[in-house]
Amino acid sequence: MTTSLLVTGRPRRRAASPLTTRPDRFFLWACLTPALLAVIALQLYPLLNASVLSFREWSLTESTDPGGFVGWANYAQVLSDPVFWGAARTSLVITVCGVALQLLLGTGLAALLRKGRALHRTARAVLMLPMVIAPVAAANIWRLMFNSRSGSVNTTLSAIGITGPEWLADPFWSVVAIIIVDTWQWTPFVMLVISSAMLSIPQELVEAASVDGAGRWRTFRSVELPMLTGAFALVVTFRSLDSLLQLDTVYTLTQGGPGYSSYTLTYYLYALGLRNFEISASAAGSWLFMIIVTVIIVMMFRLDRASREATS
Amino acid sequence: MKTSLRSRRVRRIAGVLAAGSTAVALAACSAGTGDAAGSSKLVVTYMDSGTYNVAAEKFAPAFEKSHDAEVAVEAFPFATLGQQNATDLITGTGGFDVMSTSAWDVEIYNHLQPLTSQIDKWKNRDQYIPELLKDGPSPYASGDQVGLTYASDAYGVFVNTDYLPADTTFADWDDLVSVATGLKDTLPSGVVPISFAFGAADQIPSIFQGAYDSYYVTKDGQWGLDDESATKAMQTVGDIAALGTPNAASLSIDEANENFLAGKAAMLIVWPSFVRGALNDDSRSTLGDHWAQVPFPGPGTPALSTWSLSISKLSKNQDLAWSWIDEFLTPEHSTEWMFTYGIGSPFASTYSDAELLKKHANDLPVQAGNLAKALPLPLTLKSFDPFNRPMSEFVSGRGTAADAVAAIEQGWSGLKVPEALISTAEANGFVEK
Amino acid sequence: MRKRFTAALMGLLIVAVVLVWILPFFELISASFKSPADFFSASFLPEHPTLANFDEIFADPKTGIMLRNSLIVVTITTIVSVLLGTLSGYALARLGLSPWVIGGVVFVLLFFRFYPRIAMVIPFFVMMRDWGLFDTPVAVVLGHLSITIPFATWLMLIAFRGLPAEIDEAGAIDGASLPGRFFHLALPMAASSMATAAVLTAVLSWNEFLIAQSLTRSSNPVLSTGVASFITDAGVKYGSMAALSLVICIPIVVFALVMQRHYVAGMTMGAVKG
Repeated sequence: MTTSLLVTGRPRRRAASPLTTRPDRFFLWACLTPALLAVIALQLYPLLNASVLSFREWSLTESTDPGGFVGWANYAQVLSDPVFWGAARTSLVITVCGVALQLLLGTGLAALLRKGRALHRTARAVLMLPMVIAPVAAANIWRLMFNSRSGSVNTTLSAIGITGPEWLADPFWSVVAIIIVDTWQWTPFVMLVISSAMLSIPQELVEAASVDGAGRWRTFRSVELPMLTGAFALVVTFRSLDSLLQLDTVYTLTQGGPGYSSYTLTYYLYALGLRNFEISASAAGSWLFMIIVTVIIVMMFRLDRASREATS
Repeated sequence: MKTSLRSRRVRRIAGVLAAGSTAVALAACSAGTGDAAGSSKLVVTYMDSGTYNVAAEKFAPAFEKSHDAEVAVEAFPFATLGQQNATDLITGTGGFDVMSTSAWDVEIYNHLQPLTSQIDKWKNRDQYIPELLKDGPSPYASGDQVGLTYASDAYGVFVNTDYLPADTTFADWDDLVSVATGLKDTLPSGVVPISFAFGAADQIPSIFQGAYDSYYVTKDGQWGLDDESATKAMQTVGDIAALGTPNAASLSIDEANENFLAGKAAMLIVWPSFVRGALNDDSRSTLGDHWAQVPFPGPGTPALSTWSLSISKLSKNQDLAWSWIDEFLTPEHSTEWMFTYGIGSPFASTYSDAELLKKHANDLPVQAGNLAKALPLPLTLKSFDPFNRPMSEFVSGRGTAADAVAAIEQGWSGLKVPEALISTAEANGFVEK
Repeated sequence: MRKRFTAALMGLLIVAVVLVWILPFFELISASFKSPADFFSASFLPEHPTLANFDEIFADPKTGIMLRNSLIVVTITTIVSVLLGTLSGYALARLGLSPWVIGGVVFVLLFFRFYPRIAMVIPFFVMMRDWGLFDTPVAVVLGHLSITIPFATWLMLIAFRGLPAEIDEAGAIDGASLPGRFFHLALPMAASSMATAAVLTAVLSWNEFLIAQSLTRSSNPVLSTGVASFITDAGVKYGSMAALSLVICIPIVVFALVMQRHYVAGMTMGAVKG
C-alpha cells in the first residue's frame, strides 16, 4: 500500500464498511474533539484577531485601542516598502541555498552512515546534537566562531593560508554565515529522515540490480533514488518552511546587518510588530508571509502526488 | 513481540504519566503563589544589566520596610525592556507601576503620568544638572515632564596620554580627524589612531551626531537631513573608520574597548559608562592612569543616553510610585552608584565631589561638561533603522557618503513623525528653520 | 583484503566527519570555562580557565526557577500534544472522510505549524491576560500547544494511515471493537511515530524563545529566555551564556538520545513503503 506523506491520496477502501459502526464513529469523534477544541481556542482566536487587525489602523502612535478600518492600506504599506522586498529576496536566497545544501549533505551523510554497525549508529546519534541545541545558543557559538580576529573559522582558514573575510560585517558573507549555521543545525534532520527512508528500501531490489552488473552509483541512482522521492519531498517542505520561519539565527548573528544585507522576512515582521509596535502592519505582513507558505505547501502537495503517481 | 512492545510501551507511558502529574502538581503550586497579603504592592521595571537592576534590588528592602509595602523588581534584558513596557501599556494591562523608560519609548509617553507638580516641589532639584531636566534629555509629553532621569551618559572621547596630552581639546571633528591622521605616522606599529565599534551599527550615528550640526526634521514635519552637511559628516564617519584597525567594520563594543585598554589605540570613542569600570581596574587595563577623557568635539552634539523612571497612568499606587522615585534618585545614591555600578549620575554634585575628583580628575569634569551639552536624537526605533543601516553599509565599503545620505532620506520618506517628538525636536534645535 | 581497507577508510572518514560537525560543541564547552579576557584571543582553549561562569549560573536562584519552568512546560506540552495528537490523528485516519476533506485538514494543520508566531503574540498576550494566566508556565504551555497539537496530529495521521489495513481487518473479523483495535493493534504499531512526535515536540518546546519571552515576566523565566538575558546593550557575556547553554543542552540531549532508538524508525512517517 503506497501511502502519501501528505496524505492526499485515496484511502484503499472507504471506511463505511462493517469496520465502523455507529458507536465506533462516536468513539472516533470523541477522540477528535479535545484536539479540535484546543486548536479552535488557541489558534482561531489569535488568527482571526490578527486578520481583523490587519484591516484596521493600529500602531503605537494611536491609543490603546485599534483605530478604524482602513481596507487594504496596511497591505499596501508593506508591499510598497523596498525593505520588505529586499527581505523577501534575502529569505529566498537563504532558503533555497540552505535547503539545497542540506539535501545534498544530508543524503550524503545518510548514505555514508547507513550500515547498522555500532560506529554508524553512534555517529547518527551524535550528529543529532546540533538539532537539539537551542537555536539562540547555537547562533551565539557561531557568532564567536565567525569573529574575524579571534574566531576559529578564520583561524583555521589562515592555518591553511586563506585570509578569511570579515564574516559578519560583510554584506555577502553575512548571508553565507546564516546559511552555514542553518545547514549545520538542520542537516542532521535531513540525514535522519533520508536514512530512515533508505532503511525501508527492500534490499532485494538493490541486490538484484548489482547482480545485474550495475555499479554502485548506477544502482543508487536508478533504484534507490526514485524510492526516496517521498522522503525528499517531506524534507524539502519542512526545511523550506522552517528556514523561512527562523528568527533566532539572524537576530543573534547579524541583526539583519550590515545595512539590510541579511534582513529576512521574519526579521522584518519582528521589527515591525515587536520593535516598532505597528501591530496592524505586522498582521498584514504576516498574512503576506502566509501566502508564500501556502504556495510552498500547495507545490509540495502537487510534487508529492506526482511522485506517487510515478512510482505506483 | 507485540506483547513485549506493549509492556515496554506501558511502562514508558506510566513513567511519563508520573512525571506529568508531578509537573502538573508543580505548576499548580507555582500558579498558586498569588499576591502576598500585604498592604500595597509596587512593581518596578529595570534593565537586567547587573547594574541598574542590582541597584534597585539593593534599595528595595529599605523601601519596603519604611513604607510597609511589597516591591517587585522586574528586570528585563535590554532588547525586551521596551517591548515589555509597551505591551503592558498598549494592552491596558497596568502591571507595572514605575517603569524604566528611554528616549526610544517616545511613542508611549502619552501613557505616562505627568510629574510636573512633583518635580517642582522636589527637594533634590537644585543638585540636579539643570540641562537634563529639559525636554529631550528628559521624557516630555504634551509639554509635561513624564520621567525623571536616573542614569545618564554622554558619548565620550578618550585619549591615551602616552600619545596625546590629557588636556587635548579638539576644535571640531575635522580637527580630530587631522590630528589622528597626523598621529598615524608617529605611532608605534600595532597601534592605531582611533578605536571605535563600527561593528555595532547602532553606535555609528553617535559620530555622525557630533559632526553634523543641522536639522533632523524638515519644515514640513518629516524626518530629513541637510544633504550637504550630512554628506560631509558622513565622510567624517568614513575617515574615522579608515583610521582604525583593518577589521574596524566588525568590531564589537567590547573589542573596540579592549584595543584601547591594551594600549593598541591612541583614542577611543565610546559610551564612557561602558569603559569606565575597566579603565579604573588595573587587572583589565594596561594603561594605569595614562588616559583621560576629553571634551566631545562639535559642531554637533554628543549623543545622550538616559534611563528615566516614569509612572504608568494605569498605576493604582501613584503616590507610592513617586515615593520610590523620590527615595531612589538621591544625590547620595547616584554618587555612590556612579563608581560601584557605573551608573552615570544626573546630579551636578557628583561631578564636583571632592573625594571623587581626587581620583577621577581625568574624567569627571569633562563628563559633566559633555552631559550638559548632550542631546538624544529626535528619532523613534522605526526611523532609527533607516538611519544607522545605510551608515553601516557605507562603512563596510558599499557606496559613497552621498549614497548613504540618499539612502537615509529614502528610508525616511513616508514615515510619520510622532507629535510628541516634533515639539521636543524644536526645543532641541533639530528642526529646519 | 581490499574490502577491509575500504571499510577502515570509511570508518576514519565517518569519525572525521562527525568530529568536524560537532566542533562547535567543543567550542561551547571551552567557552564556558573562559574568562572574559579569553574571548579576545584566538586560542581555542581558555588561557585563564575559570569556573566563575558556572558559579554564576548555579548561584543565581533564577537558574533553578528556569530549569523548573522549562521542565514543566516541556513535559506538559509533550504529553498533551502526543495524547491529543494520537487520538485525533487516529480519528481522522479512520473516519473515512473524503480525500478532499483530508487534504484540507492536512493543509490547515501544516498552516498552523508554519505561520509566523509574531502575528499571534499580541492577541495571545491579551488572551492570557484575560484568562488570568499571564506570567505563568501554563500560558507558555498553551502557546506551545497551539503549534504542537496540529503538528502531532499530522504526524500521527500519517502514521495511522500507513498501517497495513489487513491487521485492522483481521482484528475486526475477530470481533474486536474499534476502541479495542485502537488500543491493542494500532497504538503499538504506531509507537515509534509517537516517539517521533514526542521528541520533535519536546525539542521545539524546550528551545522556543519568542512565545516564552512574550508571555512571561522576569519572575517566571524559562531557560531560553535566560540565555537571551546575557545579551546586554554593551555586549554579550559569552562565558556565562555558554555555561547556561551547556546546562540547557544536557536534559534535552539525554531525552533525545534515550528516545532515538524509537523515533528514528518513526521518522519515515510513511514516506516510503514497499
